[in-house]
Amino acid sequence: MRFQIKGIKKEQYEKYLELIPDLKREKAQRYITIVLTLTTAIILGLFAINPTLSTIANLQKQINDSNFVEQKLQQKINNLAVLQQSYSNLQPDLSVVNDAVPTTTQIPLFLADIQSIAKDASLTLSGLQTSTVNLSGPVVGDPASFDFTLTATGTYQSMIDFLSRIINFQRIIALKSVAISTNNGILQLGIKGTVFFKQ
Amino acid sequence: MTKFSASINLLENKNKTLDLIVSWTLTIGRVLVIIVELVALIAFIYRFSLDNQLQTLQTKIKQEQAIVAYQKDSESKYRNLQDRLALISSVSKATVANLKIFNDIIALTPNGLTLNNFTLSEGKIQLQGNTSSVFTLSNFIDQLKAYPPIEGVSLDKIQNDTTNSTITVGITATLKGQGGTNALSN
Repeated sequence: MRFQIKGIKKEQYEKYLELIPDLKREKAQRYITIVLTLTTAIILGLFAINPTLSTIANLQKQINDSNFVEQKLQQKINNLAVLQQSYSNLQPDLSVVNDAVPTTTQIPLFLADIQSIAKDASLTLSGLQTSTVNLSGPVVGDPASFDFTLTATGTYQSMIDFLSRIINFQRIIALKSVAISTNNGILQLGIKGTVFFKQ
Repeated sequence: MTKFSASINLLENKNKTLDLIVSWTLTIGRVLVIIVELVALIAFIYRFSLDNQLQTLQTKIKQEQAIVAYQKDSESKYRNLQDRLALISSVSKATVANLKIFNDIIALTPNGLTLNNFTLSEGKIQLQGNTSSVFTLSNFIDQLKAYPPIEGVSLDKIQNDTTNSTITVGITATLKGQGGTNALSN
C-alpha cells in the first residue's frame, strides 16, 4: 500500500519527521524533563497551592474576626459581672436614685414637695406651675422632662434658704433662671426650672 | 541557497554553559516538585487545623452570645441606672456651681449699691440697682470683671437722677462657657 497524505509527498513527510526531536538523545530528554518539571510546578501552584493558600488566608481572617468578637464578648461578660456586683452594692441607695429621677412625672408629689420646702424656708408661694405634660402618649426625650415656674415672696434670707433646700432636694432640678427683684418694697423670687424623669 | 537542516539541535555540543544550566535546572526542578508537593500537603493539613480552630471559636461565641442574651434585661437595668447617675451628677454640679455664683455676686455687692433686680439665666447675669457713688459702681464693676466665672461685663444703662442724687444702673455679665457647667439651663 502506498503511503500518501493528501497534498504532501513522501519526501516532504520524511523531511517533517526529521523536525520532531529525537527522544533517545540525552539533551532532548533533559529539555523535556525541564519543560515537564516547570509545567508540573505551574499546574501544582495554580491548582493545588493557590486555592489552598487563599482558603487558608480566608480561614485565618475568619479566625481573627472570631477572636475579636470572642474577646469583646468575654469582656462584656466580665463587665456585666462587675456591674452585677456594683449594682448589688448600690441596692440600698437605689431608692435615692429613683427619687432623684423617677420613672414617671410624679407632678403632684413634686408640687407638694416644693410647697413643703417653701413653707420650711418661710417663703410665701404666689405661683407654682408646670408645663404641659402628655401623660397618656409616649414619653418624649431621654431623659424626659417638664418645666416649672415658681414665684414667691419673702425675705432675702428665706430665698437663699429656699434655693439651698432646692439644691439638696431629693428630686433633681435644673435651674433655668433665678431672679430676685423688689416690687414696691416687696422682695420677689422667680425660678424657672426643669425636672427630669426616665422610664 | 543554504541547505536547510531538518534536525533540531537545541543544545549545541560546544556550549558548556547551556549544559550546566540544563543540569542545574534538572536538579532544582526535581526539588521544586517535591517542595511544591510538600507545601500543598502541609497547606492541606494546616487548613484542617484552622477549620478546627474556627469551629471551636464559633462554638465559644455562641455560648457567650447566649450568656449575654440571658443578661440583656440586667444590662438594660444597669445602663438605665448609669444614665440616671450621669444626669444627677451633671445637673447637681451645674446647679451647685450656679448657686455659688449667685451667692458670690451678692457678696461682691458693696454697701453703697442697692440691687433692685438680680437675674441669673442662660449663662448671663442681669443686675439693676441704685447707687449714690460712681466710685462704688466702678469698684463693683471691677470686682465683677475680676470674678473668674465671668467672661465679660457690659453696662446696659446708667441714669443719673439729680433730684435724689442716685445713679440707676443696669449691668449684664456673661458667664464663661455658656451652655456649659456655668450656664443655668441644663
